[in-house]
Amino acid sequence: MKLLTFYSPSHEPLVRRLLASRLEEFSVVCRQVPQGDSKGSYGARGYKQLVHGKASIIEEEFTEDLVFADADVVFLRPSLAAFVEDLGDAECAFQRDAADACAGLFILRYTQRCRALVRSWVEMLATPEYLVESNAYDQDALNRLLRATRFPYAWLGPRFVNPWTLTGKHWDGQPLSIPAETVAFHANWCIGVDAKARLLEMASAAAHADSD
Amino acid sequence: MRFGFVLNFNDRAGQEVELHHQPDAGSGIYLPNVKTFVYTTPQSKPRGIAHEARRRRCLEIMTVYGFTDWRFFYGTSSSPYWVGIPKDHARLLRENEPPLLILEDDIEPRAFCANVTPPAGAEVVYLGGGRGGDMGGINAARHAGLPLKRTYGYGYELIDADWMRVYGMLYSHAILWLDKRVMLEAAQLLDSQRRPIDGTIASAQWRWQTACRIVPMFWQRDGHHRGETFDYAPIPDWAKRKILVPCRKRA
Repeated sequence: MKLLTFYSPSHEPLVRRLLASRLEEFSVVCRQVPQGDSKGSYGARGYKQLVHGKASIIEEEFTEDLVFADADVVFLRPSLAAFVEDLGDAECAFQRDAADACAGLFILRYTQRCRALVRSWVEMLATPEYLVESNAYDQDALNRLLRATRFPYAWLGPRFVNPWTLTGKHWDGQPLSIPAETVAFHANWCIGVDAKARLLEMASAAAHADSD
Repeated sequence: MRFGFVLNFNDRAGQEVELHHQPDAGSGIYLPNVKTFVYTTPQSKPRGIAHEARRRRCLEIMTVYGFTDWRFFYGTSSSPYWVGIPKDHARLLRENEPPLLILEDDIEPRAFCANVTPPAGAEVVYLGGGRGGDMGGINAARHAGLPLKRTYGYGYELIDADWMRVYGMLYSHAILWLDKRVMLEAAQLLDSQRRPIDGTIASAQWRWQTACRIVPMFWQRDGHHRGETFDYAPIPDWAKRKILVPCRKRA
């Protein structure tokens, strides 16, 4: 199965960590995108253009069953079985991000409906409403599509962790207790490359401690 | 196994119409894989709000029905609005190969089925039509000796239970183009005439094998074409005799 990630130069330290993590079950595709005028931080100037390009990259690489992981994800253990188990009979499964499906960690089956979903996602992000006037980002667009079409997706379960799944709030530097069964940790719910790097360090350390 | 969704759309009578999406049924052209453009217009106030809603609805429709090779085409702004539309369509017809589906952004599904088998020899396929017609197109077909009948504002010949050949039928909200020669001919006409796109095409329909769904896959939900694009099936002769004629007598 293909695992796709992408990064801008500002996120290279994060993607290096991702690529060094437990990805041995996947055929990994890592795409670099130009930094543009973005610092890469959530909500910063240029962030919108950066994440809008993500959907296009996913569409280009969506030629078989696909796992997509943002650069701020790290795989602590082999995860393919967990992905497949959580996916079940659905055609796609997303990490939980509060009430939303997370656009930063998900699995897609290569089906007509999933291809249509990705195509529509790309088109939605290219509409004037999203491109210019709205403050909504790629994840908002994806969730709007999922809800409007009642797309039958599944959730990735508690083995796919982020600060929200652990605490229900943003991460502001507090220690996190990372469950031993965690297969993937997503350092969202914090802003800035440095904060993400600290979170990922914490997750990796927890995994090493468990394996010792 | 049923692959697709079952969605409930509210139809004009306020009843729920259940639409089944079964792409693995039958044979013919599998529409979700056909290259498709959804014609829309750039953002403009105050119409921009309506167009935003239309685009959102199109995104839903294209996702639900599994279209994998589609995109919005943002038409040229012009005044009046219809002047730029034929040129845009001409460009699409020239630059793309058949089969090519061009939808407008106010479509609404009625009896969509993913696999469509047009009548043999069809060159242009209306997946949705309407009651309105162009007399020039009907008269041209008559002069050419074509055995058409009249109903509402258009001319037709029934082909089978699903299809009719149409003459002088307006509307351009869901046209599937199957022949490159016809596409180029239509493009030339659209570039050379200053009239709304559907009028130009309607006037030339008799020259092409133009098939139309009797029950539309898509109707036009633009706020003023509601009834006429939802149900435009030819009025059968028995209905004319039993319903229309007595009414006339009473009048």
